[in-house]
Amino acid sequence: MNRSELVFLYDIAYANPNGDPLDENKPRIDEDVELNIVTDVRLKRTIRDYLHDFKGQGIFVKEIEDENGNIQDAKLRAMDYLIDENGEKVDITDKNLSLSQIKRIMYDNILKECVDVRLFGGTIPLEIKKKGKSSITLTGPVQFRFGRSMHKVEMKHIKGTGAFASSAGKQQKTFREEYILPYSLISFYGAINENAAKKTLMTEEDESLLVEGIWNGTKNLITRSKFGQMPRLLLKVTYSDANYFIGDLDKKIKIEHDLEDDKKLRSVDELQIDVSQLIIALKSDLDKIESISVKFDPAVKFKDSVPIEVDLVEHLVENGLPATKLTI
Amino acid sequence: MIDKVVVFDIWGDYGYFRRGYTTTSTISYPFPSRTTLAGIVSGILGYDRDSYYDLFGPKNSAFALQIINPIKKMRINLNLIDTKTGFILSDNKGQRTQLPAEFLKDVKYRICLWLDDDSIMDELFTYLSNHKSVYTPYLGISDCLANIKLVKNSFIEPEELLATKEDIKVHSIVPTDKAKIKIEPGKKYGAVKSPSFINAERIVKEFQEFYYEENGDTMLIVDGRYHSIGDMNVIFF
Repeated sequence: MNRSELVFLYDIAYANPNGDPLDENKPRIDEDVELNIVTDVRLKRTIRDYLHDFKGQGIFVKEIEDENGNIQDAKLRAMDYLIDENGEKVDITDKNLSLSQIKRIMYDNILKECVDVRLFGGTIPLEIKKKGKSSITLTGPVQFRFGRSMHKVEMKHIKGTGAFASSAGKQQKTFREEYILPYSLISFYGAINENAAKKTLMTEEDESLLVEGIWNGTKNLITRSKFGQMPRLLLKVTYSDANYFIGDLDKKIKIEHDLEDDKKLRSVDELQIDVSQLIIALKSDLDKIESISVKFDPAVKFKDSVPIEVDLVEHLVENGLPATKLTI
Repeated sequence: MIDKVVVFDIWGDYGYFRRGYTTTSTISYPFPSRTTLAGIVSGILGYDRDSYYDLFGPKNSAFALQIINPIKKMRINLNLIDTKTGFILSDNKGQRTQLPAEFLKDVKYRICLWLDDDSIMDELFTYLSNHKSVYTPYLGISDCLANIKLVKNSFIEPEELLATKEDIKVHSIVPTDKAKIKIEPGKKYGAVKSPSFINAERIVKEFQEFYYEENGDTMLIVDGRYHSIGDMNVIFF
């Protein structure tokens, strides 16, 4: 596996991409610059949920109930992975088994079973009676920065009535209020580190799952607050030169529109994506790039640097770049 | 003897250098501590966790740090899984824990580093001059991915000087035990104590205190030793 950098653009209309739990679940906004922020944890959750629900992948960070309907804690969750080669539960009271041996068994099983730990790493607490406490800490090869909107946004406050009363005996339905963004085109930057991948045993197949999870997970996340999310552009640059990276690829993609104010943006049709800076950067590092894979939504319009009749992949190829369509 | 230094910049959209032992849980230092700087350099070089502490001891290494972008803070409320009660993802009250965390934004620092080991200095220089890093660099936590760039295309030989009568303009943060500063009007000063040395068990052995100027402006020192590196004056720690 080689070093890769990712840029992912998606948008959301009349919804809340990532609520702030300590601020009335308002969309997160950096007030100084009026940009919408989405935490990397939100994107990772999207990917995890997709890989678990649609691809049947094992996920460490998920909710599991015990026989009494209580939700497992992390230490108990780690115990799920204390099984030997024959699938039998390891007896933790066995005197011949040290804490470090138990840790090793769990470590191996978790990495074997859980794609999210192979991708994003994790800290797994262990506490075993009489043997002490320990933890497994793994830095994930895949990391994302907080996502940010590519334009200024404005928040709207929406009120409505709920379908039910707040408690029995009430005559009226509850009121419901929420904060939404009329439009936000969010840009995420991420990196895949091949050296960290060796430690978590992340494979090429995991990388494909990740890419699929980013795109399809975003598209399939149809909860009420996320309805209307659409993936728009996913770009993966893979380097042939070991340990090399361009960095800040997201900063080289910009948007333009004819509206007087960013805040009037309401749809992807009203803007064009400008990739000219990106192409300059990629061309100047052509000798260090192995491949560029691109997926974009046909609704996206690029600035006139990419003629309308030519698609982005063709345009990159015309510029001498090793670009291909990303198949998901 | 600080005979040659490598100078590089590190920057990113966000940074989070968490302070331990505060009454409010998640405050960030305004700049990375010496232990964090050692971690960043070791990440570039690809050293394993817990393998590099001896390399950055008080005798065989020295750092200087300049704040380039003004220190700007923002609060990001994190919705964490309360691992004391579980790795929980439902909306059950009490199963998640919300944490207001103070992040730095639009962060940029210039870092000068001297290491006694010439071969490691050469290796680091080669990595930086080719814009390579074994592990992905980040500012404090892996959510704050960073970019790096070598500032000068050669090692720089610093000149050690003594500030006695004149006030000397210093571009780096100032360790409080190395020099006295003279307060100038219009500047925003701060003092912060952060961990400098840890042992193999990651227990802090020594803290150091620094004066800094919030906007990354220069400070005047009236007494103390400093180094001149090209067009800037710094104090190593």
